[in-house]
Amino acid sequence: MNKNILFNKTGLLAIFFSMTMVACNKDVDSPVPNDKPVYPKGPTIASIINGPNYTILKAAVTRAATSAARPTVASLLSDSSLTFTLFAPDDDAFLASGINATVINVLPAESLHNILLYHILPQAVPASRLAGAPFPNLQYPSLLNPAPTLSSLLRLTTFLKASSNGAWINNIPIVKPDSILANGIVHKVARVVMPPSRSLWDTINNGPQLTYLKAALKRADEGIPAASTLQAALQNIGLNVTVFAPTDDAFRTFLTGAIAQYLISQQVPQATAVAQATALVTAYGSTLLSNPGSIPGLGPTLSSVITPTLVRGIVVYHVLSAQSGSFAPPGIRVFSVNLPTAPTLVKTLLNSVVSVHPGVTVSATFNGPVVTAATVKGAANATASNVVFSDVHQTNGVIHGIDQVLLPQ
Amino acid sequence: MRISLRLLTVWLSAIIFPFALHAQQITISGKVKSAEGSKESISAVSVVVKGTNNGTFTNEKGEYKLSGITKLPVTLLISSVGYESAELEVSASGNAADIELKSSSKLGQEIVVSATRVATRIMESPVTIERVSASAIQNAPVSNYYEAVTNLKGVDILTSSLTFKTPTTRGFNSSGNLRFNQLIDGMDNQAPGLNFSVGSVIGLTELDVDNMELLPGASSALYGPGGMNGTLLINSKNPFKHQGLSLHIKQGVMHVDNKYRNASPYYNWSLRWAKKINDKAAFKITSELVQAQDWLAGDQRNFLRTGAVGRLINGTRETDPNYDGVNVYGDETTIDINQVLNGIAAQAPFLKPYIDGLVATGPKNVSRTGYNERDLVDPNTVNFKLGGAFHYKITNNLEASISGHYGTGNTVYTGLGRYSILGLRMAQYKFELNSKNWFVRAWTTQENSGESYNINIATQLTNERIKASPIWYPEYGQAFLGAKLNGSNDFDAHTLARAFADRGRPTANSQQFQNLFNTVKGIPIKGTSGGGKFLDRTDLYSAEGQYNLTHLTGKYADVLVGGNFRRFVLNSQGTLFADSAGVIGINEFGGYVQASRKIIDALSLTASVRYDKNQNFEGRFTPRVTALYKIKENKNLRVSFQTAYRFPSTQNQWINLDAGANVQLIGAVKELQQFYKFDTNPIYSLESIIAGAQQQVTLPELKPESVTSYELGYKGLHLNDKLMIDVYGYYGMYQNFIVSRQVVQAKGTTPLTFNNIRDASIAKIFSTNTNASETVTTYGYGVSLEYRLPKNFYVSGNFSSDVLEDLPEGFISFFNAPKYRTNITLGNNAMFKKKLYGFNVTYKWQDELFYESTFATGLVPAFHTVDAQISRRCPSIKSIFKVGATNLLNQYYIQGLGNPSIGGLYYVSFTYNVF
Repeated sequence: MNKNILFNKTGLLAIFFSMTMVACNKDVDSPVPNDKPVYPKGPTIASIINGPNYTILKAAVTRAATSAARPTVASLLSDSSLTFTLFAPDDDAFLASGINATVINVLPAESLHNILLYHILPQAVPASRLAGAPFPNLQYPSLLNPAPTLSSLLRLTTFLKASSNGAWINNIPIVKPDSILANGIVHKVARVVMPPSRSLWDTINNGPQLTYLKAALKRADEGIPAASTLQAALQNIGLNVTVFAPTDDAFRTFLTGAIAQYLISQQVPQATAVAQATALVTAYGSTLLSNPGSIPGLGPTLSSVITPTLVRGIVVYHVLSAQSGSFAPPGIRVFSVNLPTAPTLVKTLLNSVVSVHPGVTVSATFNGPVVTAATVKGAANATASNVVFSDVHQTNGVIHGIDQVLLPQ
Repeated sequence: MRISLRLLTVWLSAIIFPFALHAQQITISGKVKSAEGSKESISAVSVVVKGTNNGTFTNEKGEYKLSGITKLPVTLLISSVGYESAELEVSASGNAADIELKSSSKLGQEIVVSATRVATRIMESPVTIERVSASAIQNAPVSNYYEAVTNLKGVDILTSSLTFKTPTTRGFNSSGNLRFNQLIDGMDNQAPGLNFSVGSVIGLTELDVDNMELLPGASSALYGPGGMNGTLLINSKNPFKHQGLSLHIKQGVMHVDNKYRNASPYYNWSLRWAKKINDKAAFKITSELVQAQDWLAGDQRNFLRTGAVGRLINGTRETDPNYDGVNVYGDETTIDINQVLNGIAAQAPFLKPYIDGLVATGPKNVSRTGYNERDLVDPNTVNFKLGGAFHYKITNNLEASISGHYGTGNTVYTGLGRYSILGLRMAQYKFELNSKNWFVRAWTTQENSGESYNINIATQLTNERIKASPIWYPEYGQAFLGAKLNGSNDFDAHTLARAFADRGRPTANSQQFQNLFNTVKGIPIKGTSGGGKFLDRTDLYSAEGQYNLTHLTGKYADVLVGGNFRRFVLNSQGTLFADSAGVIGINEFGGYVQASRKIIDALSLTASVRYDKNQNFEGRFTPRVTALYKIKENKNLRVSFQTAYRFPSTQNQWINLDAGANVQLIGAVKELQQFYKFDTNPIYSLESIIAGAQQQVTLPELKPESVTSYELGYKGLHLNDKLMIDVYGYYGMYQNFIVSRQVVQAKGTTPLTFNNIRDASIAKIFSTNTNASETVTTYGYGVSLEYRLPKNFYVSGNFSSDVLEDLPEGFISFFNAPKYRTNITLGNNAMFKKKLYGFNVTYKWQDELFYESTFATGLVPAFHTVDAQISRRCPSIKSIFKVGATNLLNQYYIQGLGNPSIGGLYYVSFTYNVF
């Protein structure tokens, strides 16, 4: 009996022991987290500002920080959890743009903050990505929100491009690309890149040389519901177009020629016709375009010739839009530096009505990254118009002044 | 007609009043005691007058009273399981005919019925069979009698809740196992609507289980469609035999390490009262209550849903925007936020080039934020069972009975999703007539899903109420874009976007969430406009009968014929089946005949064939042939060829359920496919869409699934009959395997891609059933040894293996069986001088397995468990005290992915008057 008790105890013990040794289960594993991003170490973009050639930029950043806007540019650029591209104007660039340290200290801090935000893209864009960009350029949002109260997603965009002649943001040359920092890339630029603040319509409405264009727009919009007018389009922040704006002189020349030609066709001798036309243009100016019917004596005749349809056809021929030729996004914003060196046909808004129209022929001459001359030629113009002023950048497009009215046919 | 009516009257009076005119009767009474130890009385001992059908059983005090004896002397045959049978000659009626029985530990003495539907010694069963007796349950260190089955060779069990355990054999385990039948007193206990076996919910109470017989392998030749992989038959105690009041109180504790929940009590109380009113009538009432804090399914791993099954991938809620936790719900809702970004680009042209660039970096699938199962499901699991039966002996050979089982409770089930079975009420009622040569029974299953709801659907829809996805996703997309436009990387942008879209999101334990969730889970399922609740009231009606013709045909062969009829009445009011217009009936009938004959002395052959027909499917014959070769006494070789099949389940046929994530589950009947215009609006296979080239498919008519299996086995007693060896090997071939199949239908003209098909405006994904064209083969073997040591010690062990062979590439079989598993048990029921102590230790191990299900798929690690109990009998108060534990070492393990982690359960129990 004793022996059996012993057997019982050892038997039990042995079994329990061996089972305890082996019975080690694996419960459900914990989930394995995916890798969290590792924020890069090392100097951030903010360190560039402390460089010897960026004293004015540093002053601007310092002054911008006194505004109420948050986060500050300084804190953004030193944040290694974010990624940016900074277009950095050095002291020379500031001075070339007419801004020195004194100017910085009188500019409103809020405006400075916004100007600086326009120099920053919320992603890393190396110069290599700009090479081979399609015509006219690549569109990248900046950090600048023009109307934060409207939507937190609004951003003013920048237009980047590189070619054999150089690389640019809008029309500003990039002089030294690709300084790589922990939280992004810095491209040194030749000028301050000013953010647009007004609409195309604002510019046309107030431009001293653009009164005839404004008059033409008025005539073109006659009889059209307010929401669908060209004027409304030019005020729309969602628009993205390029306007070749004939100056007042160009319009006068165009009107004089057009009226004289009409008179000649009415059997008026050429010299008389030219004299009468010149007199009319001198006397009535842009009213001939905006309200031809009001011209004493000739009202009915003129308004039957200078019809809204005719004027609208001419105006839309001056607007470069998407290649498809409509207002449809994304549109194109062609800075002078984006123009090709060889004459090239580009579609206009007219193509939204006459889809087969060849468009206008554009070209530019470069000296390094700088455009020395640019031309645009209408299909029915004998010669190309010269771009007389260029790159007036607005929130919804860019305007180039030209010295001839472009004729589609 | 008149004649047959008259005949019936004669027949009825003949069976009801057969002994009405008997003259002088003698009554014998006495007591049966154990010859050993404390000489305690033995109950439920059979006492039969030799050479007659006149018999009775001892009551709870060991007393018997036998009347109807016409002349003396007579010889009484006295027998009881666990004791050596004895004969007692009685020559005078006045004296007490007492007898003492010697206990016996002989192996292989058990009688089984289910193998051939005729009582057979277990040693001579022509097919593999396992038997678990009431005393084995009593001695097993289990918390619930269902677990006793797991100690048998070749058995897998899936625990989807403490009170929801599904056993199976030969693989293909799942909690709604459609290939394994469970019959309780002859009634199939599969819930006719929900399609899972509710044995552990409404089955017998532990005290009322007389025995369980397990038939592994194809067994529908005798038991009808469904028993593809095996049949478990659980039989209750007859109130004539087992009398008196019995009580079982088990008090336990779970979650002792506070890992998943705080330590909490486990209660299992059961009661059985049986009374023999007189020689003709007896009744029993049984009841059981289980209450505990359930095991928790807390798998937080990330699950990528692709096709029929998905896979586990890395990632957490914090590190994967499209995280979909296995036991996290509501996060099944997912869309590609590129859709939102493209929408913003259309409205904000100046951002279009930037957004185009973002979109071009690839799809950005984002899931809604989910809630954990632990915060959603009431941990309180309750199971209440009530049963009763009234038996009436019309003659010595004919017994009528009516019985009922009712069960209600809360549990959790794993199907396509996790289902909280809340207030489920199931009832089964049966009328049975049992004669020596025949039986007829009619029974019904009445199902009422109570407050049961689909946890996944309810949580997804609660999310929609917290913030509708058409608002949440645009908010997320805008915040994501905003963060990107401020210079954030994708990871941070996703984090910020989620925080923004989820701002103000109620926590799981907030009143706001609880109110919403409780509302949604109480609304019937009706796509996105409904809630998560089932309204299942499906019923099943069945009638069957069997006649043993052997007394007529015995000269040539032993012949058995039988037949059954079943009618399902689907009633879910559109919440589960396509029955919103009214109930759907499905009829099935079948019949079988079996003949067996001893060819030579040592060789018996049995052949059976069964025919079944379901109104929606073609009829099927399933033959079975078995042979038993007696090498020597108690050394038998068995060979069988068996076939089995199953009709597609009621859900396979008629389900119509929005499963969330833009998936509609539909049955395979033509009417449903036509309703969804499969005939006019083409469907494409999901695999082809994933592969990037949509391919139109047509679904062939669904056929019943079938299996053919060959089996060889040996059972023998060795070493002076102290060692029982049982070995089997099988080879099975499955044809027309029923698998789920995903197809996609376009809603418009947008080409379908893997990234847009979850978008309800573009596509609809249908998950339906089809037959696999491939033949799936399985093979396996098992061996068990049981050895009787001196001094009542016993040791047993088994080892088994199931293997799926030649699986075609990409075929998902849901095999879910470990390649190897083993059990080792050491025990003693009568230790020490007075033989009052007992113990049992069971060690179990199973290999790792790759678990496949429509809910979650992945590796289930190998696990070991140790169960143990120590007991002491107190014969003076007819009681047993027991201390025990399942998973003694509290080593958590899972049996299926997405199912709960099972820990240790420690208990003490008190049992009064157990037989």
